[in-house]
Amino acid sequence: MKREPAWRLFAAEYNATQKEIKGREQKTPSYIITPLGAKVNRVFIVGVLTDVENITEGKDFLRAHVSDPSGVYTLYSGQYQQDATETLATIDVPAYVAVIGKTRTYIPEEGQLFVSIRPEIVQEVTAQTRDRWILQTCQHTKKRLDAINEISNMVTPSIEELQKLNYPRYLAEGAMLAKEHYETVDIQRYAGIIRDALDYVFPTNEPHEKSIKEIEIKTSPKINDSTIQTKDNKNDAPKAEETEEIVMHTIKKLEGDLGAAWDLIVEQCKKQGLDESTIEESLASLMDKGFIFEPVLGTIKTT
Amino acid sequence: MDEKQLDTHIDTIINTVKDNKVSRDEILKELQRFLEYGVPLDHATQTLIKKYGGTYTPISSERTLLADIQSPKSSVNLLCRVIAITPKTTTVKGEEKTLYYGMVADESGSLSFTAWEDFQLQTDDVIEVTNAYLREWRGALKLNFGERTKIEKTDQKRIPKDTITPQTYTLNDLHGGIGLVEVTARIETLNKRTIETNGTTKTLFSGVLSDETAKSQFTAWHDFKLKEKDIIKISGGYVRTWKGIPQLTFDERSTVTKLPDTTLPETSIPPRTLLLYELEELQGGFDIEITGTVLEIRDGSGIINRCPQCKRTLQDTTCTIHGSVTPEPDLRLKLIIDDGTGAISTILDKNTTEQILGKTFKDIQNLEKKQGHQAVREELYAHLFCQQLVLRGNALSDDYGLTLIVKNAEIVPLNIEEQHDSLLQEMETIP
Repeated sequence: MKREPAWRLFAAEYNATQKEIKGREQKTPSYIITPLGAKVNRVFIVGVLTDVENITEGKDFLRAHVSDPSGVYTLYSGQYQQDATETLATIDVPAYVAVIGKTRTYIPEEGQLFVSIRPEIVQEVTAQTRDRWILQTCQHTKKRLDAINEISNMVTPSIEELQKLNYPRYLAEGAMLAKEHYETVDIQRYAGIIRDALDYVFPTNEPHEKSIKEIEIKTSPKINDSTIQTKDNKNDAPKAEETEEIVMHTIKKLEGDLGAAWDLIVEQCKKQGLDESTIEESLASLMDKGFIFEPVLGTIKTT
Repeated sequence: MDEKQLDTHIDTIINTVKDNKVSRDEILKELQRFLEYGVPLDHATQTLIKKYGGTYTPISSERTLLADIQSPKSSVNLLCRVIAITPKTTTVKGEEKTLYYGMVADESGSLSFTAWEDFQLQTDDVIEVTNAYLREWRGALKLNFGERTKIEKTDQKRIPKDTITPQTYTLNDLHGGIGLVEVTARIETLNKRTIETNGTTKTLFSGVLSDETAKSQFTAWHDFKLKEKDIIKISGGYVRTWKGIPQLTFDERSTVTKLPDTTLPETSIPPRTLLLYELEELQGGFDIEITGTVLEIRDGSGIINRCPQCKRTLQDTTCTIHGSVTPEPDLRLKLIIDDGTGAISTILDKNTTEQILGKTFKDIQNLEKKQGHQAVREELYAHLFCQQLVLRGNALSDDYGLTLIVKNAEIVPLNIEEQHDSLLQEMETIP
């Protein structure tokens, strides 16, 4: 029996997944196909455990979030993942954790797919381990990105053509599957994610010309259709909308390449006449809508 | 007319004119009528295909010599002798299927093949093969006998045994199922042992060979008076796999010649470095080096008890074979190593475990005695979980999957800055 490899991939790529291949029989595994052609059944992630909550009464069924430089993974752990559930329940957040787990999908309606992780192992690790993981994940992501890039330059792309360019078969297959299921892949966006992650581990002074933020802003309306609807619904909560706009604007001004410190955001927003609890509320709401995230605890970045 | 041969042609006709529901009997009748008139079978077949509305893509009936095959081809016809054949059960699309791996040879050369169906082939059969195809596999051409291939056994004298000559291989090219191999190599290690087969005692010579490309295990079923450090040419050997590891095997039918010591330069062969997906494809190998992350420390790691006689691990003080015994404590690690492309189980013995933990067997034993098993487990996790390791050893595959029996293990030091800079440079290739 072959053990499924644990893919190294960033939350932004993982969460952008829209395709699942269901195992037809009982014992055949299911996979998700990410936009960069990772055919994933198991993942290995290292990041910051930011929060753990029990989402059922009585029994332990936990939802937890782990953040990396690109976004946030969602974990669901219950009674069948006893070790992982116990560990999650006892770790003091924030903490660096390594998670090995299986992909889970949730399809609320046709055309919509949400991915999460069912952990097999959760273990507290050091910042060094996290850095090593980021570098390794950059390397693996780059390899997938290269394959996708090659495909976009080919007249008649095929697994064989990619193999001729020395891509291993499993990557070539994945890249072709991605081509089938995702119309276009924003190569610049993923290059930006890698560059930002590299910068995160070891900041260099040179600013990247094509940093993720510029590109993300261009593409974000597409990603956040639902949020735009709420935005148009101004009559419902005009006040909250306004404060959110102020907070968002402040973050963009402050964040630079590495994000903005939470305290600094609060301080700056106070100067604009907002009180602390309103600011906190806005931050939480913006985070829920996916406009901002917390790459490390206490630091906020726009997506 | 041979009835089987007619069947083959009827199959061809039916397969080509799939849309037209014409009965087998009808085709047979028509075909026989043509034959009565002395029309050659191929031509008759072609005519009937046309009649039933199919388009005939002529399959050349010309014979190809094995040595002339240089690139993948969709159809070849051969006359050859089966040199070796071994069945192997694998899972194809979730179903168990027996494939046959082997080698065929003719006057010009030899090629390994995979038969996807049971053609009832046996070693030394001389066969006429119609419609075989060639694929590239690991940079080597491999002959395939598939659904559309027809094989007929023919007169053994058409390719006499003595016209077939061995082919030269380097050790890194040896893989299971090939026969008629000629290899020039140095004997690195040599062991002698006796085994009982069917009541007779046989002496086996086994060990490790090396050439400039690789090391390989070997077994000689005959006393060739081999000596360590000898350089020998083995002609007429074949390759068997044991748990996924190819082993050069030779016996009294092979010839072994001792060559001068200067034939091969004395170099130490580094281990074969593989990514884990490559190792999974090979299903095993001798002297392999892998690099990966420790993602799991399996139960059965740390201090374990063994039966003093058979060395089996014990749950308590009872051995299933030897009954109540005084257990012998031992130290080992069972790690899951994953490099993102594949995963493998590994087993580290006492010495390698001590080496990688920087702790002695006694240290770990004391920890277990004082603070219990869970404390040892935590110690192992603290020291090894998520570490990057370089591991060297032999990789075996069995029902439980792939396992690396580790001979040497090291922790890869973390060099953030260097890795970061080289990755940053790589990113330049993306506009």
